[in-house]
Amino acid sequence: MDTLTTHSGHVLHLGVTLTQRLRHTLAGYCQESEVRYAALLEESGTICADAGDAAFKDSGETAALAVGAFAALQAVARRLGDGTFEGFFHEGKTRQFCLTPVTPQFILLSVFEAPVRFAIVKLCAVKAIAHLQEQIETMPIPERSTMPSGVPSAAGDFSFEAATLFRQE
Amino acid sequence: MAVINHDTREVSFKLVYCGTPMGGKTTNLSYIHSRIGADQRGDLVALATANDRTLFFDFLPVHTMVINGYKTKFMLYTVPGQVCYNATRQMVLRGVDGVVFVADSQLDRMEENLTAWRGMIRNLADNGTPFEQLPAILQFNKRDLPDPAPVAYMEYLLNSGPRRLPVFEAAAATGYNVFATLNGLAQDVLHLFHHGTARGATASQSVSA
Repeated sequence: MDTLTTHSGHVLHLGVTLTQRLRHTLAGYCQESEVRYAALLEESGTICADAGDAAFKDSGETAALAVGAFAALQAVARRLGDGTFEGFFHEGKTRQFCLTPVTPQFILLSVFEAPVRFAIVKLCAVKAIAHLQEQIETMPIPERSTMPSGVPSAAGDFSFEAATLFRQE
Repeated sequence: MAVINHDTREVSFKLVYCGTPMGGKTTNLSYIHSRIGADQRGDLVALATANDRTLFFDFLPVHTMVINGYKTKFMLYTVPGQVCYNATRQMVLRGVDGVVFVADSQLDRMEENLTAWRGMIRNLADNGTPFEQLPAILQFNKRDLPDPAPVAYMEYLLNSGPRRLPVFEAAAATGYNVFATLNGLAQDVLHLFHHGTARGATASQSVSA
């Protein structure tokens, strides 16, 4: 499927071409800034695209925590009277990370290690975020979407009534 | 919000367990984590206080069969039940695709059930997610405790509106109907996703002990 993406109130489609473009932008950002791992996260906690050291990728736990932490700190900032929130930076002894807003719905996670400096990462992130924003904003918005186009409907070949999706061991 | 990644061929849904404080939301997730195949789940992440009360959320990623070539993943969350954590609950409910409302069957918890129920609907509305269109399941938990409230009474309190939700009587501590609840909601979410209409939105369906 080579369409970019469709984006509606209920379903976010990430097309092959768009995902590849996002990944390419993230890879360029990793290379330029020496960030070891970068991921574009959606506010519900899903990794939309990522690049860099795959060892940092898990089943979604890190993304869920990152999105939750970002939302919590953003809410604190708002409650303390600051309507703008430019993300946050954790400075560990060896490993560091920052979370930066891309759009109200998407967040950029960057993981890096000493001696890479936050100032450099921040500078490179500005350029990467501008690219990501441009790519996200080109998403065509359909009036309505249920199944991803190009994927046959499950009706008729899969019975949800009879199926047990999760089995207890 | 369901996220479909055509490149990795993966569809993700967010399910949230809401309900009364100490009603058994975390116990549901812990049971699922302990009894589902290790190849079907990630780690259970719990952000809790020192005395094991949920502070922010619990999180468990699980995945099921490949449907039409797409790996189907569900991200299970709980919210903190205590009244003071309303802002946190609203945050966790962002982008939700389905909810389980875990009600406590003990008679003296009915008022808290109602408060939590109304709070959940208000939080969803504030997030721009109309409850009427959202797949949802009612779980009457702690049916194993002595003298639980009659199901008809709990239905009257929580399920007598224009929309009748599927109800599961459960005992999360022993695992009774924990998987049935998860499967019920997952099926509703997939039904909505594939057919564009919520399943079980008009008729009440009760799974009793």
